[in-house]
Formats: sequence, C-alpha cells, structure tokens
Amino acid sequence: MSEWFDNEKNRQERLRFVRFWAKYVREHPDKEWSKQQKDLIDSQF
Amino acid sequence: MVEFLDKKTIRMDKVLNKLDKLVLDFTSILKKYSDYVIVSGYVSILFGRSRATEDIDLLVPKMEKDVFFKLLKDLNKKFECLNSSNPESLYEDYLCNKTAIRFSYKNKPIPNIKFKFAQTQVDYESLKQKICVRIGVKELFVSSIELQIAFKEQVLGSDKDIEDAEHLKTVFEKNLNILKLKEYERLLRK
Repeated sequence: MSEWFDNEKNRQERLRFVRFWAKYVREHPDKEWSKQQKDLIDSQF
Repeated sequence: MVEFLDKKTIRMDKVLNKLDKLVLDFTSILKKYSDYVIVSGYVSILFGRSRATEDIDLLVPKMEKDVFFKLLKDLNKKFECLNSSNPESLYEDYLCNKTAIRFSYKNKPIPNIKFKFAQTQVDYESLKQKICVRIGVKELFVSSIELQIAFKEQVLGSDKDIEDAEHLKTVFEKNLNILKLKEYERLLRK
C-alpha cells in the first residue's frame, strides 16, 4: 500500500459499486436504468 | 431487466444512448454485406455498464476485396474511415495485415467503430456463438456473454475489464451457462 493511496481498497470499493449498479440494472425496467446511462454516456460526447 | 426469448436471443427495451445509436446505424449497413459480431467493452455497456468508451470493437469474417469496396462505398455515405481514404490500402495494408480500421460519423472522430477481420480462435468462436439482441424493431449481434466474461478475466485482466466482467456476471446471474463459462476459462488460461 502506498502511503498516499490505497489502491486495493479503491479497487474493492469500485467493484462493490459495479455489483450494486449491475443489480439495479437486473432488477429495474430497462427504461429506468438506461435513461440514467444515456445521461452519463451522452454527456461525454 | 434483460429478457431471453431463447438461448441465442435477448430482448431489451432500453433508451438508446449515442453509442447504441452509432452501433445500430453502422450495423444496419454492414449486415447487408457480411456477418459480424460486436465484442469487448461495448457488450458490457449495451447491457447497462455505467461507463462510456471511445471505440466499439467489431469483428467480421475475412471478406473478398470487391465486397469490401462495395461496403465501403455504402458506409461512406454516412461514415468516414479515420485511417485512410484509399480503399486498396485499407484492404491490403490494414485489414489483410491484421490491423483494425476505424469508422466514425463524418467529422466526429469519437466515438468510433474499430473494424477488423477475424483472425484468432477466440474471434471465430465469437462469430460462431454470437447472440442476437433485439431493441424495439432493431437488432444487433454480440459475443456470447460467457465468452466475454472469460476473455475479460483470463486474457485482458485490467481493472476496467474485471469490472466489465463483474457487471455481466451480476446482470446475467440467473442466465449464465456455468459449464460453458468454465470451459472458456479453461481454454483461455492456456
């Protein structure tokens, strides 16, 4: 672990959120999650 | 909430983002000339991953030069190739030389489609085991979910790839063919 940044902790936290969001996608209607995804993706182009 | 109509067909009812629109636009032309499969990051994004990408990886079986020229002419009405405007060079120097070429909407280099001839065993397996995704009246072909997960975990392995694989594993938790996944993992570990 670097004194400045804990890479492994960051990786694990990111993975937890990936699972949280994927579960949201799995359990909610397509229109609901994809509207949020569209906002995120379209804002980058 | 993806819905399997059968083992090889998924139906979705998503609101299309800019990446989805680009892919559907491009493949609506490509499908007139060739079989194809979309692989890698965009597969996770199609199924909801909360990230963007600058390119979409697409594989086609090697095509004859005259077919490629016709495809290029058709694509050029709406898209431009970012590598060269010389069809001969695109075919011989890039595609037949195992190098991808990129297409984007005219004067908009990102996002773009990374277009490549299938070369490896994994490429051919992706084409053979592709699944159809229907969104409204449109459809597109993507790699099998099990192959995507195994490839991202066993071959690519960056943080982003592991997250993409984790996303697919969670979304398709109840639909994954575990035996098939294990088999791909075994083959790709070699």
